[in-house]
Amino acid sequence: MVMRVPVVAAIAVVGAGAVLATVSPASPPEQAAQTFTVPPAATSAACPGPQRLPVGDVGTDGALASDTDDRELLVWGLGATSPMGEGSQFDGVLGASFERVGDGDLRGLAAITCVTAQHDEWLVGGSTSLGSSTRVVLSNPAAAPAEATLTIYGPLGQVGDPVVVAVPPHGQSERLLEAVAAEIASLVVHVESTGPGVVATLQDSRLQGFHPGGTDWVGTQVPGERLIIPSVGSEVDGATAMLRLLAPDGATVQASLVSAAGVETWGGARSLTLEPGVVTEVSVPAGIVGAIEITADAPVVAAARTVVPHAPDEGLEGDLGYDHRWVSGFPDQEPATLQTIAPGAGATLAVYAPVATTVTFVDADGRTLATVSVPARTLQRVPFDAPAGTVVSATARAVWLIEVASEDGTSVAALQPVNTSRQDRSVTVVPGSVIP
Amino acid sequence: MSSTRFIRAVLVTDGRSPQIGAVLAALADQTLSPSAFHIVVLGDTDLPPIPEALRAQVSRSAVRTYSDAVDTVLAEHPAQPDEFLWLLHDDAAPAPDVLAKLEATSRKRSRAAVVGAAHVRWDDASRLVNMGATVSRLGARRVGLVAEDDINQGQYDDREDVLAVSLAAALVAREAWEQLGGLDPGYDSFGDSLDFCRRAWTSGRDVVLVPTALIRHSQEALYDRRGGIGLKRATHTQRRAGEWYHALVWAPWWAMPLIALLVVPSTLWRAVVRIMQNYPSLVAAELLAPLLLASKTSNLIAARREIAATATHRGAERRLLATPRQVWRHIREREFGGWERARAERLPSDVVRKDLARHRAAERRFLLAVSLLGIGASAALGAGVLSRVLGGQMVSGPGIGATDASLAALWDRTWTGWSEAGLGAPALDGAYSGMWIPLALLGGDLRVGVALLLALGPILAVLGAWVAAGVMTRSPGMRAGISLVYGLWPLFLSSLLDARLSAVVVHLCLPWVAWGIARAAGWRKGITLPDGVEYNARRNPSANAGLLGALALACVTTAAPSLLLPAIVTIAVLGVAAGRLRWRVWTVGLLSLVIGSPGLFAAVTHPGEALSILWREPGPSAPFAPLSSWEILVGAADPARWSPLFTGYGWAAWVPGALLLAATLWAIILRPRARAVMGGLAVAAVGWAVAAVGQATVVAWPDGAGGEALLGWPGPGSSVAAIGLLAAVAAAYGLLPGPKEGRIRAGARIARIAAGVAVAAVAAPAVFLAWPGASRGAATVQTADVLPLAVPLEIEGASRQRALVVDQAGPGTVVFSVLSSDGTEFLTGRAFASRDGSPLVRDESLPGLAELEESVALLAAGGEADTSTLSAWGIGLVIATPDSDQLRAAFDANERLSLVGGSERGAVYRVGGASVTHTVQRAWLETTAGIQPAQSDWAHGRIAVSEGRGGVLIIAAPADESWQATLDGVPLAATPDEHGRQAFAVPSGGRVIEYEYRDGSHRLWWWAAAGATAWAILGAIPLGARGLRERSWS
Repeated sequence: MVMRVPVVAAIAVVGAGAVLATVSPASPPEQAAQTFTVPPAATSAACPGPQRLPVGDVGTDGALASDTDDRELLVWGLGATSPMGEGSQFDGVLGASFERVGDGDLRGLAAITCVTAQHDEWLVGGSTSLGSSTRVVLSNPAAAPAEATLTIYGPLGQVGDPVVVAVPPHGQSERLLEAVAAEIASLVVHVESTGPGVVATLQDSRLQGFHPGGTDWVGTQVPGERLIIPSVGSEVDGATAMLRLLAPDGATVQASLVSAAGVETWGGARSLTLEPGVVTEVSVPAGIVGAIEITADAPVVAAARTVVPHAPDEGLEGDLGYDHRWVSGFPDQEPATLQTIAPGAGATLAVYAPVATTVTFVDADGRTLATVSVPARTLQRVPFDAPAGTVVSATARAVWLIEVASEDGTSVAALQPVNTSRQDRSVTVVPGSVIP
Repeated sequence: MSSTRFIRAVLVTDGRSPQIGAVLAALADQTLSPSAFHIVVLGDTDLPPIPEALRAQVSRSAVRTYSDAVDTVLAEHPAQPDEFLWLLHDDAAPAPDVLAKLEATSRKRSRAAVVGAAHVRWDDASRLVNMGATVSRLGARRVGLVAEDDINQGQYDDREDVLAVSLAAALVAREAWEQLGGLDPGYDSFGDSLDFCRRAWTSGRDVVLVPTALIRHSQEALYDRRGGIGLKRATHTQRRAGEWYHALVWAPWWAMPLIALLVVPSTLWRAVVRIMQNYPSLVAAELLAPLLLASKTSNLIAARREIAATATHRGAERRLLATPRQVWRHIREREFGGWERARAERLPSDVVRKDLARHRAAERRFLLAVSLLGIGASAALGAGVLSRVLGGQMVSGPGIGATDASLAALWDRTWTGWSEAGLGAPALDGAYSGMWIPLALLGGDLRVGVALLLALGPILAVLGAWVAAGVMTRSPGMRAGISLVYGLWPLFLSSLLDARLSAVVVHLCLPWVAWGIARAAGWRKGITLPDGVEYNARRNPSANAGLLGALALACVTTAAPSLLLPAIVTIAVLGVAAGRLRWRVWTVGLLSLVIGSPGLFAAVTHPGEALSILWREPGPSAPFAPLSSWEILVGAADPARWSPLFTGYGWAAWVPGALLLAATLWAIILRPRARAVMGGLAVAAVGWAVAAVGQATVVAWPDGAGGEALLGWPGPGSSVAAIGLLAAVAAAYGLLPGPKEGRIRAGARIARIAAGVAVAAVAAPAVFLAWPGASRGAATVQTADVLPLAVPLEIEGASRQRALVVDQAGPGTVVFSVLSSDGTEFLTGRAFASRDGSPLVRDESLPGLAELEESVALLAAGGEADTSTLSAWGIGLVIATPDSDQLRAAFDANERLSLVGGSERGAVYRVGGASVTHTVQRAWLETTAGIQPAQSDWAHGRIAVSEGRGGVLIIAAPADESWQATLDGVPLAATPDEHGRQAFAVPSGGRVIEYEYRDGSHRLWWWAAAGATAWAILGAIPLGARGLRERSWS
């Protein structure tokens, strides 16, 4: 009997297990998710308004005075325009602001394509070094209040605590960054907002002694792993250019400079390691007018500043004044329709394409304004004469912008196009539970 | 004084007493013969031969009562001087010297109008039946002056004056009989002797007992043997009514209304006590007594007049009324006699006592040891949980939800049958919610109760198993082993640590079910004494234990409906095995059957989903990775829960179950023919099958309220399997003859080592779980507040708004939940939907959360999304969970939502920004002049209509036939609603609207289940009732 025990045991256990194994577990159905297509909400673009002198009114007489009477602000936009703070808002999703200041501290050209509100924006530009002023203008074209949180980054990483700014409905709020982040030579500002979001813009105005050091608007961008800065450098003697980079979470970046002739040599920026949140600046070789291609292993933001000198009307012999132009990085992506508004005759189209293509620029009625044939990885610059206020759009895998300069080329600005197509969003809704 | 008193004997018979022959013979044997002997035959039955010696004059009469029959004799025969009547019954046989003794006493006591004898049992003259009687002061309780069946040892021989004697075979002065008007017909012949004697006292006469004069009395009338069912309970109503009648007859006039008022509560209380005593047949008899009493109003008036006319010495009898102490002794003997008897029967002889004491000492040692282990396991696994919950937090976790369901919510859910999950739905039943109510009494909600259950789980399981094992084996070591294996059963510990409350309840209650069934059937192993004799103190089957088992089984099948049908089948089979006591065993399953009937009905009406319905899991249930068949077989633990320190010892998870399987196989080989062993094995097989089928079945479909689809957790089935295997082992061990234990003792050292190893093997998985660093289970302890603070106030307030909680689950994906409670909770029980989401209790599908999905999508996408659908369904608050910044941005931008506040639990928005003139409601009246909100509760509410405006009453819940509304008490007609909500047309001119969810079939089920439960609870109280026992003899 003792011998029988293990045998019976084995048979019984195996038998029972085998019987149970015939009942295989079921797989429960997933919670039914439903996907809805939600049309885009009607939003409106907003322009920041005129540039402002950071130091207040200190006279309007001559080049050494701060302010000036010789200024011209042109604002265009889709749909009806209405004032909003110092700026304006449009019923449509696109606008443009172009400002020419003849003398004073703000002498030069400043231009920006006005866009709709976003919730997560990066502004690459600005400085709060001695003589520099950086003014962030937050516009809220919606009927609900918004709250923006500005996180400021400098060459040593994040500067101070984030600044929270409330933006009233149909209104603007602004902050001079030198008040919260003084003596930071190179800035990147991250704007996160709640509510309807805000349109963030940054006025970067500088002085070089008594002379203007350049002024421009900086527009927003989103981090990407492949960015194109379609215009950097100037043919004017003495012009310099600088690339500013920041990787929110750190990245290794390859940057290359591309001109009409193709890829140029650029020793300093072949491979850069970016620390998280640290603003890095790299000089761009002088004398080359081109575009910058940036490839990174993690999302980065980037922009290039081109500084063009001029001889001031007043002052000492040999003094130089400057104007500058910020061009933000734009994601290299699938063919998209980009739009901006032409500032008038005498402009230049700068077109970069990663693959060989022909870009046709049309106006709002579909009339061809220009056709540019671009070999792969080159920057093509062609004169562009469209009436001021013309909506310019092009659909291609190309990154482009409209350069504006004074006749002598010493005042510079650029209008970067934006993708205004607003696609339906799909939202998937799943019933769930709230478990602490 | 004359030396020969005239004694007229009158025997009244209807000829139906089988004792009549013996009675006549006993009368013929009297040492003193009566002066005249009359036999009055009622009806036309034949009498047996009448002994010549009696010289009886036989007459026939058509009268109906004893008293009238006597009167017919007296009418024909004029009174003699100082005449006494000897009133004889046809079921009372006097001893030969009775008349002589009575006559002597009547002469000695010249004031005695009634001289009575002592009554003894017909079949045993040493047992007393009646030695005189008295009544309580109130008069509503007749108190016998001896305990029934007391042995006559002459201890009452000095008794003389008593309030009353039985008039059967008593001498009664004819003058008194005639003056007092004979017996009162209002008593239906129960209690009329007492009444007559009391009247004799108050008329200035004495009533005397002759304790040595013995009458054998077979109590034919009391036991209803004159053509009736032959059981004492048949006359219970008359006796009880007679007692109240007596109280009313003898009470002062001003006390009569008070006594009349007392009748009803007293009757109800007695009915409850009868249930507790497990004499359900007497419940109706008790309840009928007041009705019978009410029919005696005319008798009552006549009786009181009679007393007023004859009572010359009122109060003379008062000293003979029962003292409170006598009454209490009477109640104790009669109502609680079972205790005394059982206690007396448990008293063992002195010889046995010493052995028992040694056995009990061993039992205590082992019980202490396993209790300490159980307490240790409880402390290691649950002390932290308990202390934090006592500090104000609650147990929660995936699939568990909030566990602070309030008593009110549990009650509303079980009473109304309306589930508040999602937008609300008719629920299958309310049993699960009802089951928790006793636990929620600990502080108003289930928070502490749940923590206690989880923390004390191991020790409670150990103790339950100890008790249950005791019916199978009396070996302390075996019982300890069984309780340890059961208390630390690995899948049970997994259930505890995942807070699978249903599985925990099943595991804790199952031993009590087994115990209850075994005790109901009288299956109980005795203690084997050293001489091999089995001593069994409590072999008597216990109906109380059976009902306690029924309650435990009801908890089991409520927590795990999958066990209902297997339990019913098992109990049916066990009942057959119980033979004569089968009904006691079958009763154990009855309560579960009543409570589980909605589920069975739903399974029948939804045959395609019958398995899903029968295996449904009504409470919290977390998703899990299905177990392999081998894991189910041994109830294996999950090593992933252990401390990483023991990663290499995964095999230890299989050891306890494997040991038990091995022991079972040993049991089978040892006792292959024992029915108990095979029965245990069959139960285990049922458990395994339940577990395996559960895993293969979707036991809860997505119910449209956010509850996800679930597979059946194999825990309850595994617990059943464990019980079955342990029962087989215990039975096999219990069946071992005494000498075998002796042999085991011989190898005590080996046995001890083996036992030590087994204990370590069984305890190892529990230790690994308790080790610091173990992940343990899904259950966590969280703050009891889930939603931002303002939200619960709004949810529970009079507007009873719902809250929409939206969570950004990923890019473009949001998870939403509609809540009427602070966090999703499952403890009130799932509503249960079929595969297509429609409620199981309705034929058509009702609007569910799908109605809201598009609104939620638009809301989450941002912009000016419309919130009217939300407010239409009573959703007044929208909450964006923390870290859902995009949702916050979208809600901020929406003018129709206004931010109320934000905290780490989320940002709260009120639906209807500045443009809305009223807050969102659960129900409201829409009139041309605007909206009138209702004061709402769980599933009912009211509106005070202003200026009598009519309109439409809208209840923000899915339209259902069970919604009812009234305007000043007049039912309103339902009207269709665009959203599928419940709406009623309200005519103008009314004042108050009341609405309510009232599901007739649910209500019917509720009362049936509540009645059955109350019955089982009362019946489980161990009250014996000596006075109610029936006696039978041939």
